[in-house]
Amino acid sequence: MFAHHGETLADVAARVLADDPSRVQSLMSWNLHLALRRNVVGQPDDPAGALLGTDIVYTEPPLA
Amino acid sequence: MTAAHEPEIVAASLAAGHDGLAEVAVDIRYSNGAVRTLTLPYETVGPALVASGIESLDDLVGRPWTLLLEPPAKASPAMDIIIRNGTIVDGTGAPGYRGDVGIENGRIVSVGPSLADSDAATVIDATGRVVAPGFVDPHTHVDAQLLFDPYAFPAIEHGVTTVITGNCSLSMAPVRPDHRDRFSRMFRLIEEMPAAAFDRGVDWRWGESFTAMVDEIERDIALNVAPLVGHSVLRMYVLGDDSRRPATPDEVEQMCTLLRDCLAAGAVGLSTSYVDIEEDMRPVPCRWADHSELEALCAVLGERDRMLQIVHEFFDADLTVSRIEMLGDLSRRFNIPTTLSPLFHNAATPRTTEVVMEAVDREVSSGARVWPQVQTRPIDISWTMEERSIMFLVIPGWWPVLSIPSKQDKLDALADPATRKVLIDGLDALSAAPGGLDASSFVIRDVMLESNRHLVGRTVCEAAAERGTSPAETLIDLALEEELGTWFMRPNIGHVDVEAVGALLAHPNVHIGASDAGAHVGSFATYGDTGLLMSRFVRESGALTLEAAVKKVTSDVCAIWGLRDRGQLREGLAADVVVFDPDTIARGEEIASDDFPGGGTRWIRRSIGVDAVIVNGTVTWSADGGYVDGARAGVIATR
Repeated sequence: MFAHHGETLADVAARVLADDPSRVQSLMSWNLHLALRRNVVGQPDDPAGALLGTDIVYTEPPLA
Repeated sequence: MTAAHEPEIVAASLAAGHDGLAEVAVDIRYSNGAVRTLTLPYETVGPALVASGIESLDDLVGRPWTLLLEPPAKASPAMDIIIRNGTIVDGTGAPGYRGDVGIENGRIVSVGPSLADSDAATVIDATGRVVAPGFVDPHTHVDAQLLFDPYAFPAIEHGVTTVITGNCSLSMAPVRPDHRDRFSRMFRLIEEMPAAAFDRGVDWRWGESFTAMVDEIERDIALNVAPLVGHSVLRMYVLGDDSRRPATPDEVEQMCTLLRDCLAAGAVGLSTSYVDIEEDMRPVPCRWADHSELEALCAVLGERDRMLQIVHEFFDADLTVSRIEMLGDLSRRFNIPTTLSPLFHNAATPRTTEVVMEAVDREVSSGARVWPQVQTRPIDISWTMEERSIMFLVIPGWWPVLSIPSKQDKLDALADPATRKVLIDGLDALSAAPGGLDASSFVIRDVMLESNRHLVGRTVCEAAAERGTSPAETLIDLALEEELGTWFMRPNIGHVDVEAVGALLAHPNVHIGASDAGAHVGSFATYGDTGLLMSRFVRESGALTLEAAVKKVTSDVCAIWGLRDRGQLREGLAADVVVFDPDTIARGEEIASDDFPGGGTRWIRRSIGVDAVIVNGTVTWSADGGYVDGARAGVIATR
């Protein structure tokens, strides 16, 4: 899926994995390329560091 | 009436000859008054009468006698260029065959049959040579270079007659005057062009519109150009300085209108990027778009079956596969061709290209047009610390120091103990990481001081051992000693496995390209990839037949990009032709050149084994004469 502009991974987790208590950790582990980017996990200090509308976010684990 | 000294006909009559056939008896009076009777067979005179529009013999009176001469045999049509006795490899993949090629008025008029009875202003003896369509380079950044170098030196001498420009979201138009500085900073950073060359060479003489730009370029180019329009540029034009946000529906509509105008003016498609950044390390404008914006723009591309080019996250296999699936979706929904570049083979992760190509094959089999671009050359990066190589973006602490504009300030920073420690620690950390950037493998390519000459060709590790320092320290020390002039090289970074790369290049769903010509000028030579294709992957490894390789870089490219007027040796098509020796064609050694405005070094490769290059029927380069002064036959290839 594509992120919404300005979202964090936490926002995405709340949106698509609402029933998963470890949703943020799950999303981070599936999206290392995004998790390593500045300010995409928590509420960002700099909105520019948040997700972009062009970012692909994996919402399920990679295929084995 | 006849001219004063020309004999004229004073009488003409029909008679029967001794063999019963009709003859014409003609009295001719010379300028001195003498009259002589000539008897000519009617079969000779008849055609002359017809040719002259004379209906009766009486009408011959008073006309010059030469009118009665048998009309000269119709001369074989004089052509502009004839290429004789070559092996014609016509770009379709068909086996090569011996024959001649005729060119007239910029078009191919004959392919194959002997033209021994024909004449031409220029005759090229191609005995022992291959005659092929001009090569098409689908991923270049010669946008800026073309403005001060209409030949895009040295592209043409390698057989390249058409280039795609405007890749990676960056085209030179439409750019408003107040955005030129931001654009130039982006272009210089992403494409690694020296500031002096861009600033002195790019005069923005067309103003700002895409139409005006292509009109201006077409006036003065020696090879054909098919320009993409950049998504980042479209966003800057419509959103202004505030382009780091999603566009409103109205702004998306404005971009669609603008893209439609660009396509009408000759744009071959739209380019966008998912990886590039501006000087402040923030994403380039196109990366701030919602996907729905790209969908709207793709709908416009679909109106003309035009290309979407993307730079994907090429360093991540999973993301690459996702982008391929995204392109497949866009291609099917909007009926457009798409291409992504670059796709490298990495020996450390050899399964990556297999997984990626499996994804491509899936999309293609489901009706999508998704073309990954694969380059022929291995990846090396050269640099001095006077400029900043993109390679240093990933080394903690290095990028800010190498970005210091003043040479003296940069030298001071490198000499500063605290800064030096940050740089050494950053590089050491990366060198220690598995698969990381290992400074010990860097090679000292050239030096400024004779006292260091013995280090040329040795690794930094070897030099460090000699000096009793670490590789990171040696890098910094040499740069300081030589006032930033030392050339280093990181060789064989990837894409070096000839067998694996050859298999990729030969794959039917791979688009050979990604040369990046005109970019990264201080890092590596981006010219000569077609020579390498023919030498390494045809002649040496046999990964492709000659015919298949030629097809890959001619008619395949034109079919993928919708360039319908070229790409094959076929009567009626534009006469873009390259003549080369299949036994010797290659790329030359990488050499330094200081030909860009403002000086500085760029790396180039001259051609080997190419005899002549013809662009739209004009010999533009030859091995004997070099670049032809005034040859400016290039056109916008999409018009």
